[in-house]
Amino acid sequence: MEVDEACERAGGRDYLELRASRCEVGIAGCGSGKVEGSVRLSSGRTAVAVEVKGPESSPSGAPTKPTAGRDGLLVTVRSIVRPISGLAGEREQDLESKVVSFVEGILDPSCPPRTTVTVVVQILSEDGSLLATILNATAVALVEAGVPLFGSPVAVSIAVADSGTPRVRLDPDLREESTCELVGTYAYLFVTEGDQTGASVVQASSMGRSSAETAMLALATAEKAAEAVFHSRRGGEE
Amino acid sequence: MEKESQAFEKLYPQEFLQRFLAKGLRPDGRGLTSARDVTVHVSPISGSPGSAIAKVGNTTVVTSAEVSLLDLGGDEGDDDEGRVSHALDVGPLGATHNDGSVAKTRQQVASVSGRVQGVLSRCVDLRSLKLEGEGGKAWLVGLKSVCLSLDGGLFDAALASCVAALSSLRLPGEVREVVGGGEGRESSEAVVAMEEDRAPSRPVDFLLIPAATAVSIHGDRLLADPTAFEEALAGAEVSAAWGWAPSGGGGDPELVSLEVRSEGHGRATVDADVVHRCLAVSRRRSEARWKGRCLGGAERA
Repeated sequence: MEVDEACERAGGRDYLELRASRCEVGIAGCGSGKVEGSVRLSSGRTAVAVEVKGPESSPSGAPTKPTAGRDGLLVTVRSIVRPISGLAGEREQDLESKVVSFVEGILDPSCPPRTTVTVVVQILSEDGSLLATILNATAVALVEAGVPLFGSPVAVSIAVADSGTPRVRLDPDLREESTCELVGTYAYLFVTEGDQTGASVVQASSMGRSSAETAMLALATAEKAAEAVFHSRRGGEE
Repeated sequence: MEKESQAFEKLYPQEFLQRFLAKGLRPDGRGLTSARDVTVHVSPISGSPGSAIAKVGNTTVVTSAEVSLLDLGGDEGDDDEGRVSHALDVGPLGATHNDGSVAKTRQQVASVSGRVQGVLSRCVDLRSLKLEGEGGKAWLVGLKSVCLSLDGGLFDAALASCVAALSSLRLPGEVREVVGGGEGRESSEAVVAMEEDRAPSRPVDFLLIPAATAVSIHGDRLLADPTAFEEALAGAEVSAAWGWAPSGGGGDPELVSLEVRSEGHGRATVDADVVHRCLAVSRRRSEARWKGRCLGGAERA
């Protein structure tokens, strides 16, 4: 991918460069005993705080998932997303539904059945790529809480501008999201077996008019970006 | 024999489905990549400015459209445009389980509704909703959908019924503002005049006509337009909404919205290749739906 001479992104970012992110773990404190995993993640000026409780026993009478009897996941995942201010509206409910399906997609089958995992998200500030930040923070909080995950999840956010040659931008801010035509969030799960690492899509949601080829291009870029993030994390741990 | 097969379906649903899939069929007799027909009735509700019922198999969604005025704030910018809002209600009528629990949670319904609103906001020419003249006002088209029965394909049916309701909607041709109050203060409400001999009403302009088909992934098989039974057993689902130019004439459709959800942990590995195949299936089926649907219902007043 070539670099444009005149970088139009705020802060002189490259088109495929993530914003600086900060992660603080254990902010809620273990003393209260109520919250098992908590993290505050910020990516640029988007910041969220996520708390995870569980797995804890489901209260009897809690609605069990109508799964037609399959032997899949028996863990109930609940999610609450709180906006910066005011009451939660339809957008927050949509984010809750995405968080629930994300967590269901990454939970390991060894998670104790008939339990409930609760994820509470508080949006602290917003500047684009909100869903990706929420999903990444949720993954860190789940690890912090000791909930078994099937692999390493990474979520990235992509925006494609509509001017002639599709310009794919990674980690868009709010201004870019409103001007770009296609905006999507893609969450991948990296599973390592021996030396091989496989990536699979856990969740992808994009909205905006584009050709099918552009959408597949965004998907491919997202996968490469997620892979780069995954490898940089692994490199950082060693 | 009938009772035995029903018991087998209840006790071992996965094996029940696999027996059909191994033969390239589905429990309702469809092929793997054939979608249910969309039946649309336009203007079933006479009291509503625009309405439609869409049926996809056993899934029924009725939508009613109404218009109200939106105050744009006075400063005439370039991107002054109207708005389309959508609300979806599944509720008890959409329950398909014997214990009475609702098939979709409040959050999943909000997710579907937000997606329909996003797709329609991009497919309707919002600039054409702006009213001529001074005052900075535009139309706010409010769509309210109610799901009467649910058997998979909620998003597809909701989108189809909204598009049909919008096609039957007529925007009033003229708006007169009533100056109310003794002090001569301008009332913030406007009286909409729908007199026959004044400016004629106009239909809603579409930039693209959307249609959607969901594809569920079972192992390495793709099932187009899954029923609720197949949806619950799927390892992953890809739902795509496509838009065609209203002038027709073929051409490639644009992808307006894409959602991929996977259950993960080895049950379904979704990679770019699988998504590409799902998109191809979804596009073929959505094209059949778009062409088969009679938008000529717009001629009916």
